Amino acid sequence: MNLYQRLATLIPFLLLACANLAQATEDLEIHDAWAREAPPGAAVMAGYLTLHNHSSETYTLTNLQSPQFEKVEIHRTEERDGMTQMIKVSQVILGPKDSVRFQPGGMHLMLMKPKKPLKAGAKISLTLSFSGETSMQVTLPVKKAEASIHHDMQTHMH
Amino acid sequence: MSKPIKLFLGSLSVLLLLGAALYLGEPEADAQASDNNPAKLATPKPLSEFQLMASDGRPLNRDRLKGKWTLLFFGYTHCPDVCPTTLSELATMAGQLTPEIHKDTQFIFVSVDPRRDTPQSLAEYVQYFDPRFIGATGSIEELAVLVRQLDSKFSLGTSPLGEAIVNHSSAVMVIDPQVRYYARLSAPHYAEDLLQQYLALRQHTPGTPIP
Ligand SMILES: [Cu+2]
Repeated sequence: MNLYQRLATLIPFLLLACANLAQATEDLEIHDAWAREAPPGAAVMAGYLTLHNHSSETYTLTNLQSPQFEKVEIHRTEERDGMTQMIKVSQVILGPKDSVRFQPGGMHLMLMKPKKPLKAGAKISLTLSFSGETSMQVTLPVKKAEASIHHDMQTHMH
Repeated sequence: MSKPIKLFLGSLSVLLLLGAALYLGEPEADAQASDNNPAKLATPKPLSEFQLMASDGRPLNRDRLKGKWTLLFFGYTHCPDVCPTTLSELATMAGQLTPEIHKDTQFIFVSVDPRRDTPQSLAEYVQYFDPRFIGATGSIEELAVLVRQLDSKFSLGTSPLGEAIVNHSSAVMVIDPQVRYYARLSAPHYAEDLLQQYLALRQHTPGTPIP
């Protein structure tokens, strides 16, 4: 096989990948993405965002990756047995017209072992992979804190 | 052998409760209804001695709680979600206190993760949120002495992948200047609510006239 033939065999895959990416960007929307600056000594950060599915398809978030972290997981903070604990979530299913909110004290992106310390003002690039080879890129600005988001949100809704 | 003793203690505590209710009488009921504060304990619980090491190198014990209102939160520094969220809300709240109230209020973060946290590492951690915050920790046994008295819990474990697991109570505990466990503010914590709840608790302290 010469180079052109090789490239030719790749075309359908490339087209497919592009189609998936285009579809995902239309169907899915991310906003309010941010990550909390890690206090001194902490080797984990939490990231938050809201994910909307505008389509009539179901999307399943299965994997998260960032070149700036060794590992990214989805966790849910839960009150169990009188204690707060973090439960690892293996996938998030986003039904038609559904939305999921990752927020302090709830579901969050667990950004583990940063390769370099990330201070407020830095940006984290994150790839969200869904089943069916759909993926999405998002940038999370690092912020010191977002106090009382709960109350801000209520005012917005009025 | 132990049964009669238990029964005796049971009736004794009933008597004590009755005594307290009679002593407090009507005004207490009114205060409870008007401030409608479910966070407050019906009867404040005096704390017995405990001993931890604080981030400023001094011990943290009963003595250090005397004469000040204390807001105490259990957690650990490797906690990325609940702990920094709560500490930044507490810092926002602290910033809204009048200087007089701030002077007799102390904020203490007790790490229940002695495997990784030390009084030294806690110093930098708590001061990141507010330079006046105090961190403290101790051995599991030392921690348990305080945790138990505050009707709180913590558990330490290791995941199959070797990652440390730390679970802990998420309430902010309020200890009064007489070193009594006074109230429990439940999560989720928001600065405005913490402030209002705390000010309401101070106002309705027995002996303080209600304006
Ligand atoms: Cu987590």
